[in-house]
Amino acid sequence: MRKKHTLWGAALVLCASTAARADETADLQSLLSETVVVGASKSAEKGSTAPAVTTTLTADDMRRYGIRTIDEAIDFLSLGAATSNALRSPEVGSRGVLVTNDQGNHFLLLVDGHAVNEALYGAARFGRGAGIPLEIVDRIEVILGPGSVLYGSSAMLGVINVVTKQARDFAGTHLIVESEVAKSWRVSAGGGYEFDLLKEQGSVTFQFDYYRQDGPTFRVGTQNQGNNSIDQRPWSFKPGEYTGTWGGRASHSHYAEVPSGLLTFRLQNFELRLHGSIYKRAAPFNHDFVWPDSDFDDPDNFERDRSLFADARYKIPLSAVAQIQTRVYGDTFDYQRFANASAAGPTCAFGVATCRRVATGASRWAGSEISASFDWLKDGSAVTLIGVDGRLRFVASQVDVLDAASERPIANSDSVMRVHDKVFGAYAQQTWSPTGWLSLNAGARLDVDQRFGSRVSPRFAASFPIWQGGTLKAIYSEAFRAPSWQESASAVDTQLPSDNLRPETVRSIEGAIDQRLGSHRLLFGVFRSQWRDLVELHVLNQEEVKAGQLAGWLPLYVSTSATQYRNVSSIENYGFNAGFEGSFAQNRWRYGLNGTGAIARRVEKGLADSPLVVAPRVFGNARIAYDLSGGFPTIALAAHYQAARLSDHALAFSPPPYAPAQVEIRLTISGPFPGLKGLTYRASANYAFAGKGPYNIGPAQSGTSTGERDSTNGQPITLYRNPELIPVDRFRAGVGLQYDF
Amino acid sequence: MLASGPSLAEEAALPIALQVELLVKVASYDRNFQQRAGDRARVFIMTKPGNGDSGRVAAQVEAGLGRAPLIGGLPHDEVVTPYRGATELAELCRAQHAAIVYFGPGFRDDVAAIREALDGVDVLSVSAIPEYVEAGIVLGFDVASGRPELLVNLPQARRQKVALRADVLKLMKVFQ
Repeated sequence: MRKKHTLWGAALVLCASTAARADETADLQSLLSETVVVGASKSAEKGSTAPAVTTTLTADDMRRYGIRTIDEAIDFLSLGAATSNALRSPEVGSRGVLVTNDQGNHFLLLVDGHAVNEALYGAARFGRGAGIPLEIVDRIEVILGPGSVLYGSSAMLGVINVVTKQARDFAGTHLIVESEVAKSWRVSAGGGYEFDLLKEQGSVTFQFDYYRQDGPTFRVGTQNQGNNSIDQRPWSFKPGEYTGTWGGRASHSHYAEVPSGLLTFRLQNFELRLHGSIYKRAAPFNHDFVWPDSDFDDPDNFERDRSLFADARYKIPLSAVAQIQTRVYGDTFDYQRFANASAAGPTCAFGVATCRRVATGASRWAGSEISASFDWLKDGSAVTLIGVDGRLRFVASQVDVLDAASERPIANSDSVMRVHDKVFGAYAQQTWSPTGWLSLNAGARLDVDQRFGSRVSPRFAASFPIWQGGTLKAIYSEAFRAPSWQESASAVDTQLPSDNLRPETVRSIEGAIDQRLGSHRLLFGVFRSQWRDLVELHVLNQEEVKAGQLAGWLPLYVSTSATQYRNVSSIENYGFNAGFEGSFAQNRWRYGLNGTGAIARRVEKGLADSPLVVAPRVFGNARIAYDLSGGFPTIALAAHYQAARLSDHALAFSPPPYAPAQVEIRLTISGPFPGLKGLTYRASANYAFAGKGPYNIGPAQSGTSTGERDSTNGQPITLYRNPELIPVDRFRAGVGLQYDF
Repeated sequence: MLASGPSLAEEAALPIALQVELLVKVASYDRNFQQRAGDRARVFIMTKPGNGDSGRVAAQVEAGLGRAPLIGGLPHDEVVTPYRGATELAELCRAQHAAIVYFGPGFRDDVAAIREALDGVDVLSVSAIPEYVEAGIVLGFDVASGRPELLVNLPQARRQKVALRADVLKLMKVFQ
């Protein structure tokens, strides 16, 4: 008995001693758990005092929790941002606002500070289409809130800065094979090497990647479209079949293919970065973005992006006070969309069996940025940053209709656009820490665009330590999005060209408390933002159609459904973010919990306010991992949640369809392969509890007017077919191997 | 400074202010620090003549340490001094009882000589540049996976009589 008591006593002493030791290093652990952010003010700084609420998604966490793409990282790890999967390319929203079908143009995507969003659509891809293999990524900085102050257009919801690894952190050669069983596979090779060249220190890091996905097969509910009004035959969704019925089993048309590569070369103060990718994808449904009358489950209906950029920069340290950085860059982005339509209808009224509609777009730009920083007191406490960024751009687009059998054009090109333009930006930022307890950051950027003149985007931020480990932040910021050229200049026979579109703007005020307790971090923030002049496709009323016809813009046969891009609506948005993360037991246990609650109301003059479609009001994530260490694996469980959401066309239905609340969980096991040095494995299983997402698919995108009126109230009678929502790939299991040598 | 991506070559990866905070903490876990420093810690911040970055980093380190009331529990003085060679550096450390000697950018070609010269000299050598640690500086700072990382060259630490506690070493990336 005495021996037993002695053992218990020894154990207690050991536990107490371990806890005491942990406490003794708590101050050091607290500093080591700080995040370092470079995207918020174009200089490395502590996340807790950066002039924005930021989350740093680390390479370690991405590997630990089985993350494979930027959108997965956002969903499972970030605070305040969430994505929505339309199966073509994920959409990203933040703090209750998500603008569906925006092609990512309300979030600015940076790759090592290089802005990716292009000019024709403002597009940026956040899923596989980004073409960024995550093994070469050191971290992803998610910077919430308006961020045009340093970066210009598109940073309305925030800035996502993908920071790649230095050669020393990616040293050696890396070979990766990975597969989601029966759905996708990926092969990748990368490396990081340091060398001396011309008596200077140099390095190169690179990764080349090929991803291929086939499936899964989806079964979607059928929709009877009836007869079409042109030839009075049942609508056709397959060559030669006139059944009037859309839907069923889709086994040929859900695929993606992404070859990509990223290379960085550094020689002392010079840096060259190259990135290229092709993103081909197909989704097994007819969404309005893919033309509602296109054939069902046709593998020849697909979209393709091709992008390439080069970015060279050189730093010139002038003195202890001043340094200059110059940057030249060039980008090219092509977009193609192909859709076959066998029904006589809007796409195909040319008397051929199947029409092939081809939309193409191109966006190319080159520019130069020069910035200078002045550390006036030589101690980092008062630093001025100024810069100018000028850019020449070219955009082009057109839509063609071909005979699918012969591939010959059967109509003149429509929506033809060829435009050159110049944009210019100048920015200034002052940081100032007059005392140890106050940090100020103020800046503004002037952007000049020939289409709308100029726009100034200011930001003011202050942070103060309020008590031990606690930092209070207050931020006011504005941002804008220049209308894309597609919105500014495109026109088809049923769409008027836009007239004097103004940039969309957002202003936001927010406050946040960041509290560190050893290796644990708690963050709570509130925000209020106002969005103005949102650009939307406005449906013209009869007077507007007549005016368009009199002006010669619209053909006389157009009676309804004519549209025009206009500054239509506003959004009132407010809510809170809360996050708690950390580690214990000497970092063997790691955990994180993030949640956001937000209200966002769309406001349009003359209409009742409405909630935003697709955007979740409540969302968040949770994760926990345990590192068994000593050659044993790390076991990690992550989950994310989004409350029920209105579907993208919900407001065209009565009652409006909702996608159910979604919970997605992922279990990942990773570690070194026993007995084989340099070989590691990662296996994960992913399950989504809800089977439907918030996008209406199929030709039923709204109600149909019967042409009759209700005898009791005189209102027009509209018939609503059952809306079909997009299916979700609910179960995925994958395994990957990585060999480092 | 002036970056939205990884730092360029020979640039401090971790913000200097954070390096200074970490240095102040780490020094207090060096069991020989107080014995080495006596009743007042002397910190020499070396600059490389002709290297603008070196001077800028030195000024920031000096200002940052100036705001710290104590290093390793001791009052302290900072001296910014130009580097004149490894032998002179070792002499300086011995003669002035340096507790810490800090190197900014610009010493890549000197690190090997510094390592040899400081063999047996009781001083904590620290660098802003991560690569210098593997080459022979005792303590350094990096950013890995978006968080600060402490680097330590353990054999060199032993040669320079720097004795960090085991629980602190567990928080560091150790070069053997």
